[in-house]
Amino acid sequence: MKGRIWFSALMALVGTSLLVAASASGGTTGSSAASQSEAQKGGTHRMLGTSDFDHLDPALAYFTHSWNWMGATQLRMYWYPYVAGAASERIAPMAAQGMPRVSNNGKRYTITFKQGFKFSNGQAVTSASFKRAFDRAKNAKLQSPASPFVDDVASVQTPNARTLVINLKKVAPDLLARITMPFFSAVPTSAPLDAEVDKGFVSAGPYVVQEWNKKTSALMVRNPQWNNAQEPWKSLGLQNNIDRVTYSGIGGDLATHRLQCEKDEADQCGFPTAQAKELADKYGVNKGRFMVDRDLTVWRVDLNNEGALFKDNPKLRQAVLHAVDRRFMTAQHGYLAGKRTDQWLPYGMQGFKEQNLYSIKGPNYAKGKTLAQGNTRSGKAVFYAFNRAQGPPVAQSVQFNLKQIGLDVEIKLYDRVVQNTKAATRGEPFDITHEGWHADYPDPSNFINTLLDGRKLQAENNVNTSYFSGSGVANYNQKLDAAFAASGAKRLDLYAALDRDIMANGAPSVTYLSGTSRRFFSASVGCFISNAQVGTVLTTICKK
Amino acid sequence: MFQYLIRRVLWSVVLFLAVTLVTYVLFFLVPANPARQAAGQSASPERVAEVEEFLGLNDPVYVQYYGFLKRLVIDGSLGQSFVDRSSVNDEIFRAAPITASLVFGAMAMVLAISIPIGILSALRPRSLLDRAAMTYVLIGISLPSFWIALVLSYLIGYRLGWTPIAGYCEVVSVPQAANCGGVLDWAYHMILPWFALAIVQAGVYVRFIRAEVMETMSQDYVRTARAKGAPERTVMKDHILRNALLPVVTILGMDIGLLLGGAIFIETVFGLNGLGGTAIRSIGQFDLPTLQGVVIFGAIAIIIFTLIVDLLYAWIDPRIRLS
Repeated sequence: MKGRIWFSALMALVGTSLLVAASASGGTTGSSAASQSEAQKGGTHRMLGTSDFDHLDPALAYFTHSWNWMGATQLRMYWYPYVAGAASERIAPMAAQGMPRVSNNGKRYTITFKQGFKFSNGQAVTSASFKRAFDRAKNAKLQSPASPFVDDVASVQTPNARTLVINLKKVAPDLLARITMPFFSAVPTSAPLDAEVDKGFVSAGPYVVQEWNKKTSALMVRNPQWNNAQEPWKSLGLQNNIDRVTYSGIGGDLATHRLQCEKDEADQCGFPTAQAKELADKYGVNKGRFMVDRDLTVWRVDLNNEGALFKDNPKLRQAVLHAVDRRFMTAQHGYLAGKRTDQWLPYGMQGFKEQNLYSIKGPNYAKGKTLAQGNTRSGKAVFYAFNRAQGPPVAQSVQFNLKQIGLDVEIKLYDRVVQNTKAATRGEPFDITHEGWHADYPDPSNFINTLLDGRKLQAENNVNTSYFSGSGVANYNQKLDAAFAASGAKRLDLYAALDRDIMANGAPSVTYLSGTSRRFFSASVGCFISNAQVGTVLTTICKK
Repeated sequence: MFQYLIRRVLWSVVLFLAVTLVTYVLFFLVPANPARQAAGQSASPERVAEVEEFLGLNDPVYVQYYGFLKRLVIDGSLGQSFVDRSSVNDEIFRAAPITASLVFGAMAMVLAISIPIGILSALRPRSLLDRAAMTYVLIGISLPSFWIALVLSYLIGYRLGWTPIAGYCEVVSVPQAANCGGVLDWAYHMILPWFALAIVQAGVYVRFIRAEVMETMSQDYVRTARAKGAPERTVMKDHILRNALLPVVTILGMDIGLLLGGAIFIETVFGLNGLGGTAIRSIGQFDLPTLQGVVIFGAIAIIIFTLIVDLLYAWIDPRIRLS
């Protein structure tokens, strides 16, 4: 999901914060005032966004707001249900009849589908519809971002119209979480394997994209085949209150968008981060207009574990984690942008347990100095920071804090894309860099295994930008593998322990902010639910 | 005349090559790989290499540039966006009318404001009108366009509700997703952007016209015309304005060409997703084909409008012989 937070940061560079406006929310879901059962039906939900969708083809769509629309238009095998509360955090069957049958060696998943789902053109959804999604993800010519998520899929078979068999190259306990992503939605078997679908959309979800005028607007309408009164749709419990959803405002200004929502010219808008406090004061928090939910985002300052300063130097890394000012760093993201943290897993993520490892109220120089003593080596560090939004102030704050424990930090500012590219290149001469991560799916492995497995390091294009391989953590790789391979409550316990072990002993990065999604609605929006994976659930929006 | 045109066209080709080449070289100097972004950040080197090949980024820069020129000249294609794979031609054809709507409307408003004020100001220097006009000029020149746009949007659009706050309406082929459409809606949504852009530009033009008219009024031929008993109206129309407005045409042509490359701030504030926004977005996303498309469109617009201005000279002032 790096691409998605990368994109969000990029938008911030051009004066936006789409992550705030229309992005995925997470962890625990939130909902607004009116109960869904009393929700008014009909009407148009008018969304404004500063940037267009990247794609509306489920095999290619990867921006947060694209997934927001995928969440309403696609039928997936499994999903995180669109309900408020804890149930939304547990994977449940959507098109599947039940949970998959897993072979004894854990490498074969057999999924049976409910009968009756139909695409918007009336064609029946079969196991071949889902196999097509895998075939498209694996097709090199399509260049789908889903490709890395199917590297361990050896083959996909359809013994009959209702059964799909996924054969894996190795055991992958996170497979189910992975296939909740919109990449693996049902698509017509006629969908091209090697080309994007960008018009004539056909989908099997509650809604279907009727029109997409690139860089201008898009329209989503009800899927005429979807019937909440009958099975198989009924048991999914969707409301589908709104008749139409429009998306426009592309290229516009967040301050203007906010005014448009205030004047009821639009229903869901972004706003400048600096105006969050004003909106909270004016409309209250979570009272229907200005809504804040926990998000599966963590912002952090990475310490390069392969650089001369921090390599095999856990004491100095721990010293840094004690010395930084998380309060100040968090404040740079704006009002109610998130909660201060010192852990790798975000609040709300399964497996998260509060640990209280470092002072998150402010710097603890005494502890930092003690740990740093005799470990500062050259005493100099290079910080690759991005040059907009919270990039410079966070870097300056770290520079000041580390000066107090005997480290001179030189800040090098770059455009976000350049900074990210350089930091992702192994061997690049930096000691500290600034990154954020939003989960693709609410599973702790998407944070820990994806970001901190040193065995996955490559020459460039790394997401493990602390280049952490377990320094300071005993039997690190075994612990990583054990947590990944476990299941149920044991798995979550192992990840919670690993989270503590990594941050207390390995200290690869200064995690400082567990993020939120902040949304602003017009006065005519009556209700909505947010979801860990797709953000604002458009099927639950209702008008007053 | 024909030789002049040939010479201008040849220079235009040279200018075009220089502009596109510089854009290309600058793009490749930046250490960011669009293939890496397209592949996703955890993608393996093999996959990044695949995307590089898919996007045509694995060839040397000069080969890519040659391919770009060949595609442009032979197929008339500006290529495909690195980010969303859409046709750059389509993107330019979509964005250009929005920017053109803004620029031509605003420039018409600029002339409507600046010509009468500039002339009256010149005819009565240091009068109350002249002082008021010069105050306006100072304000117009000093205030940044995005601030004026934000204030107008807030006061007139939001507080008073006289106009929409933002947005663009298609005149023809109105999309179903749009909340407005047709000529009236188009003009209604464009009034504020036109006004915001015109306020800034008109300040410059008022000052310029005033100075030109005052200078022309002191010319010998104007004095001669008056001495010969020509009516004041004729003196003003045929001798003063005709000469004084000649440089204005030059500036106007240049300004239109420049603004067609993107009136970025005004477009952003009023949610007009024209060429300015497209350029900014493509820079942020390292989308070279789209950026190149905007650069080419801007260069061509400047070339064409400069040429039009030169040709208009001959029509406005018969003394000028292009040959």
